[in-house]
Amino acid sequence: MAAQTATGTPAIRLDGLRKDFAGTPPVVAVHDVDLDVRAGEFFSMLGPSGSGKTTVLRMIAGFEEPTSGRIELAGEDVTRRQPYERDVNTVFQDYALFPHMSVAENVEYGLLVKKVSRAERRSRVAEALEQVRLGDHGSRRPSQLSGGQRQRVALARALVNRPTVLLLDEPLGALDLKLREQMQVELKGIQRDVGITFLFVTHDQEEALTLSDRIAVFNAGRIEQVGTAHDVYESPASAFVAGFVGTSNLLTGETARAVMRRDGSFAIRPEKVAVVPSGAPLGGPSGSTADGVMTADGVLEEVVYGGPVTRYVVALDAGGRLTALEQNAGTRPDAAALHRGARVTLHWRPDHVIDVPGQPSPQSSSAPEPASLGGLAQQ
Amino acid sequence: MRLGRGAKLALTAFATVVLTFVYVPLLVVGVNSFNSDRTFGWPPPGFTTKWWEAALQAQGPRDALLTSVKAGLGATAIALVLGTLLALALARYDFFGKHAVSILVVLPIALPGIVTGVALQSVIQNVLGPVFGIGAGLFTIIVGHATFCIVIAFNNVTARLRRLGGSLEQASADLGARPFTTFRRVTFPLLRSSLLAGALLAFALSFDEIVVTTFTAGPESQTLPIWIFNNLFRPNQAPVVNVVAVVLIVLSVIPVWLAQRLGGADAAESRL
Repeated sequence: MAAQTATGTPAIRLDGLRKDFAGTPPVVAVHDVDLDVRAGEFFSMLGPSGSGKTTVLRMIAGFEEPTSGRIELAGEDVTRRQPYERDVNTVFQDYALFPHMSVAENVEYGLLVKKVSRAERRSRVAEALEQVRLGDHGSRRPSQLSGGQRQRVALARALVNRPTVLLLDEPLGALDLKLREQMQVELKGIQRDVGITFLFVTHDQEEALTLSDRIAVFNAGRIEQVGTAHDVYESPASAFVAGFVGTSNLLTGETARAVMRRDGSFAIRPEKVAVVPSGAPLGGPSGSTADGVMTADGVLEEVVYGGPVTRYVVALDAGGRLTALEQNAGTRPDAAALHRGARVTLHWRPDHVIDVPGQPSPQSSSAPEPASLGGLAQQ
Repeated sequence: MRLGRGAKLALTAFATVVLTFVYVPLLVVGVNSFNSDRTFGWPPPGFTTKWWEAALQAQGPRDALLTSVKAGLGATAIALVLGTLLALALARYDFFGKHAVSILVVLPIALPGIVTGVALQSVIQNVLGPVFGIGAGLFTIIVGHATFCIVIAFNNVTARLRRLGGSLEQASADLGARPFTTFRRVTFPLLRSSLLAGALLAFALSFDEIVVTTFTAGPESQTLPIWIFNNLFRPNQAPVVNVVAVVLIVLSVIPVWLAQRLGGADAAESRL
């Protein structure tokens, strides 16, 4: 999908987009954001709450007027257009289904107000309901549906219009974990089938990594990085991205110099750090060999068993803390030696060390909100 | 919470006393409308329907009833249109003076009726009459009643809008509907029951209003409550007054009861 128009007109182009909210002093919700979203792409805007991602979405939908900047949809400037004059549709966080209409009438609404013929309306509504597996629920009221079903009606109501871009505002936020995982798979499948550009807002880093072709990481009204899931996770462009996407294992200042033996800020993903009792031979799930491996000694502060993985938090002798994450694929012979307070050695391959550009920005010192459940859960 | 036996008994007794105090006098009026004694001796010496027959034939109450209905319908119509527009403006848009407007709208129902009445009378006498040639009459009654009926419509619609939130209207616009289509297909259908509840309450309020009406009604246009008040102390008319009072009670209760059923908690909480 993403490949089809790498050189074509972007589905969405944001140019210096800015939004100030009135107040003393005015709150800058979005700071001069530039962004191109390619046609057919599943694009996520990821960031903590208050980072401006939802405001950007609402400006694209037309519910908020930008203070300055331009919004283009498929090459057309829509900055000053009303929501009903834009070829985008939104899946709202609270679904916003019309309670006085049946499911089928909800889905039909967009076609009805655009004066599509009755026969075409009927077939497209049936098709859209089929697509979200609600073919036999058309005559129900939204109040008679479960949360997951309402979510799918909201999706069908938007998709039936075949918009240039589908905007999704944390659409899975209200669902429980199991349903959310199931809907993630469905959402990705539907996007692949219809080929419509999806612009997806989420604060859940795992959701963004799982679903997206590309991700824009938002912080304090600015985009910190745009890239594929792999880029954003393996090569974070800033300390904030390193911390917000995945667990932050950030080494700075003196500690960094002592451990890495050079100046700078460094991050290393917890699953790439192995832990062994002090004095034991190195080796472990990271597949590292003794050659060129980097090590650091410390005291095991915390051992957290989390089902598929175990997390070890180690206070380094050089100062600071590192977390190591290990798959519980088998039982470690030395498990008994890895208890709270034990002396341990951490080791990792040098090519797994991420150089984090710049110092942590002031905003990123505030802890990102706990985002995700599951294997990559943050501290 | 479970109540003890004593508390339950005490509360039941208390509620009974209060309800008795409120409703027994109304019952007495009803009984007296069939009382064969002209001076309402108690217990009633006999049953008669002659007061009802007399009342049905009398021209005075019939004209007054017609005036009351016209005034109620007129005031309700004005209240619905203006109250709904105000509620929409205050709920959906930001503008300078928004807070002040929302207080000014609700104020008339808190103002003493006599103040509203005196103020309206002086406007009618000094401005409307001499400048525009509009004297006290049905029109001025309607305007006077509309001042407080607006509050009822406004409160009902505001409560509903608050509960609905704005996202349904945004969803409608997002799906391509222009503002008028959104109002016709989404906002209005969702407001309908609260509008009806507001209309019934406004009508009931207008129908038994007396203080403001006293100052805004001309000699030719008497509403039913004014007619009752004027005839209460005429011995000849007293039995007929009872009959009219019963009619008034019934006509006031029905819309309130309907409004309660339609609006549910919504209407009740906005009745002030």
